[in-house]
Amino acid sequence: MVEYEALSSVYEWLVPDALLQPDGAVAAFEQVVSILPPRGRILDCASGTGQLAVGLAARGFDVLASDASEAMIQRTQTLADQYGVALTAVVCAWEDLSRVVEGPFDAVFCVGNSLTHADGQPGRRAALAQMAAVLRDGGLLAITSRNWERLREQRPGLEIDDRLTHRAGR
Amino acid sequence: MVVVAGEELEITRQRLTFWPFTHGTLTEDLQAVGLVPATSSYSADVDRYLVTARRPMPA
Repeated sequence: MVEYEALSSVYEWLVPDALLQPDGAVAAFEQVVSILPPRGRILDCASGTGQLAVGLAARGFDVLASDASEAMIQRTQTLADQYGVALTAVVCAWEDLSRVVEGPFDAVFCVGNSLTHADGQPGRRAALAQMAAVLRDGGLLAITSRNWERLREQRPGLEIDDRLTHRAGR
Repeated sequence: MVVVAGEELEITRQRLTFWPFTHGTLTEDLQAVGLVPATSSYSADVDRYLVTARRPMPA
């Protein structure tokens, strides 16, 4: 499990433009969000800097945001405070979810290509088992991933973007 | 990561470990932990995809 401590202060440069704001982060998952019960309980177990968690809370969901990185959780809480929304933010690695967070949840989000940081297939299955354990019966798990097989075929080397990315005036 | 702040270069380093997996492997992993794959936006020509799975209702 990778902890994004050092990168937490510059994480925006890794986030696509469309997902930088909480409403945009939620819009990207509208097909999932639209089928969840109003004011349902949601766990964002890889909250990062908090855009999705804050956006979901702003939509009226009861959100618990977790991340293995304390620095990321601090950023999630700061963003929630900036937007004036209530959520619970806790430091928790995936392998500890069922011990640390109180389920069940109507949905669990593990997005932002996060699952790739689990330690191989044993680590990945252990993480997924913990996410499943905190879902209610019939609850939904949402995962996003890079298309690694396509990436390997098309861009096996270092990729250099053709433009600078600007965040907060830098 | 290199951030340009005015005339200064701000360099942040962190070693990140990746364990890439295929869409097929992810599907198998979900099933292995008792989840039922529900939807997937995967196709061979997309850069990223979204997969959903449900915890089954009790029999």
